Amino acid sequence: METIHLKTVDPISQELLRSAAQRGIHLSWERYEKQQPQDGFQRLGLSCPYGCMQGPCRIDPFGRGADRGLCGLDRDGMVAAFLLRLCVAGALEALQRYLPEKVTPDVSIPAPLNKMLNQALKNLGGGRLVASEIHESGSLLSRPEEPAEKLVERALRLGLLTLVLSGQKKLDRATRTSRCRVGYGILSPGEVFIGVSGQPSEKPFQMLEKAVSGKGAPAVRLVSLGNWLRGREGFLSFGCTSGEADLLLSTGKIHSLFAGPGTETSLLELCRSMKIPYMESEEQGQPGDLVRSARDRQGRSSRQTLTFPSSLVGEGRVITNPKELENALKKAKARKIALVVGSDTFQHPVGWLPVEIATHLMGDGFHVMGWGDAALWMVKNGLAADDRKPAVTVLDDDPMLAMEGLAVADVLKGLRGICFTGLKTCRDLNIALGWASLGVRVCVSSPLPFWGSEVVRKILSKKVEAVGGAFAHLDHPAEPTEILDWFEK
Amino acid sequence: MKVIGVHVDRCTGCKTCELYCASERGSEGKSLLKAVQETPVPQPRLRVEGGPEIAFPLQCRHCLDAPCLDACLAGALVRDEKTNLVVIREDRCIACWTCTAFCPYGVIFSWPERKIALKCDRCGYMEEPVCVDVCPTRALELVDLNAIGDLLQEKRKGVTRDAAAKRKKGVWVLELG
Repeated sequence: METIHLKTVDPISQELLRSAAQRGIHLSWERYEKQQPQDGFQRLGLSCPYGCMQGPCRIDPFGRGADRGLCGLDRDGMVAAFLLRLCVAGALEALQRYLPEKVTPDVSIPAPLNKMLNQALKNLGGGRLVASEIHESGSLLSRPEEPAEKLVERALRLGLLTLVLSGQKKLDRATRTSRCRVGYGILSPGEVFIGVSGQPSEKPFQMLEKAVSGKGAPAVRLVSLGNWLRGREGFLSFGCTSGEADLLLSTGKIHSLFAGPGTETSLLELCRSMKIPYMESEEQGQPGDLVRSARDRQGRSSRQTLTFPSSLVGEGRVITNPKELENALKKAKARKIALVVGSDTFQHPVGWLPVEIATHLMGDGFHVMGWGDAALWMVKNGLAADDRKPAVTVLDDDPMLAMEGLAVADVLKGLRGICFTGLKTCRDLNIALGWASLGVRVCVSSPLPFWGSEVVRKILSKKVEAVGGAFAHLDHPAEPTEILDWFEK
Repeated sequence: MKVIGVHVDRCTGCKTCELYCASERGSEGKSLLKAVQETPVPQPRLRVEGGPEIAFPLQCRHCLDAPCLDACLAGALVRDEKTNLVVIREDRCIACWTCTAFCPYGVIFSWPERKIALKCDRCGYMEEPVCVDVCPTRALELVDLNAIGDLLQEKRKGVTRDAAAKRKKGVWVLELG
């Protein structure tokens, strides 16, 4: 527990961590510590990603042992293929998340971005951007003879595709103003809370909402455990960010869990060990049963003493469509714009980078915008409050929205860069690469598995620099000062 | 004296010990991602040898009667009075590689780029050697040589207990495997 400050910057979360440790509850940070150091070959991209049955081959980064795989693949080819494999996974994830019903959908590109995208595609081999590229790229992963440059090019195209796919699901782009509330304070005593994790599909989620709104006492409320979920009343309130989901669950304040696809196994495991009722959203269960179980559990645990003051809530407006963003940017007369986005990861204390960076950037005259966990931390810490000037602009969890809004408002030139404070999934990596391929300066705060090949890093830089972009990633978890310097450059 | 012991049954041959030994002990950057960018390329002080059936991480055994000490012409290899470990004084090493030839385990390595011989010093100034710290299966363990007698005694007791449990009669020849 002496390293507790390295886990989270939130003092309440630190207390909860201590409490969980005293009760013998194993949380994600403990698993992270046990995993250290993680596989060195994979961290460098020098573990072969081609799924052949002769392997697994690895290349010695220090040049004493194997310098090629069994098939003859060299280190540049291996790292490039590793990058492509991650991007194929990221694109598939995006396809599943945004267009689950369509196998090979047509991809439409928002008009203001057409020119940028065409330029980016020209730089990456030309042709149209189609979802079937995912399959074609996947097939490259059975051909180790492909040159590293081609694989990197493919990876960047998949980055673009993921970015475009993320903007395809327009249904959620509400025209009315949306707000979000974040913090432990929403868990007021006496109420029943059902935590929602992952990304449940529309129908089961609507059924749950219906079950919750039915008659019965006490009232039941849905709380997001870090995912951006739109309900009938707007965004679900956030009990925590995604990095603290298991911590919140460990408090016993969540009376049952509705787990959508993407829910981490550890949350379900925690539910089992703490006897918290849960339901997997796609399993066709009865949400009414989950509501009843939640009420039962709340009834049994109503004597518990842990209460959160209602002041532990941050609130802010969420921009959900490009027009709204255009108005907000014009109103703010933003000249220097910084995007601070990304997920909670274990490489930095959660919440540290987004809050630290956003605060300093705003002090330096930047207009800061964000989405994902990064934005939630900013809201939680009052940086997006209505009465704060300047305030952070919070965007819906749709990376294309920011790009469209900036293009519509004609302020893309003012965008100094986009910092990913953490990448959790391959989709996150694709989005970062997609932005860079479009000609934007991108910085990723955690090391990526490309350090095994200087050639691949150079190809990547060259490709994005050709359209005016940049892709910065360090060989160590970046300090806030390094990121601030990068923005100021 | 404490030395690094190996649980052979636990070693999967992942070479994590090699990677992190090279990066934390052989590099300026002290991290894997920095180490791979350095020239000369950092070198580890231990090697994992073996094939698909068995893997074994080998490093200096700090022999009590160490042939390398006698072989070193420049007096670079010495026994540390405090820890009793065999260590190399890099400033004295003339890169003649005699020690590498005399080491019965082949665990003193030449590093021509830096003109020194390289060997495990058990990370003497650290609380725990890097290889022991990073081993994902805990195949490496820091053991006190004085405690080895206790370990052997424990083994003998185990054999005796097994024999007693099986109620063997007459002369019993242990199956040696």
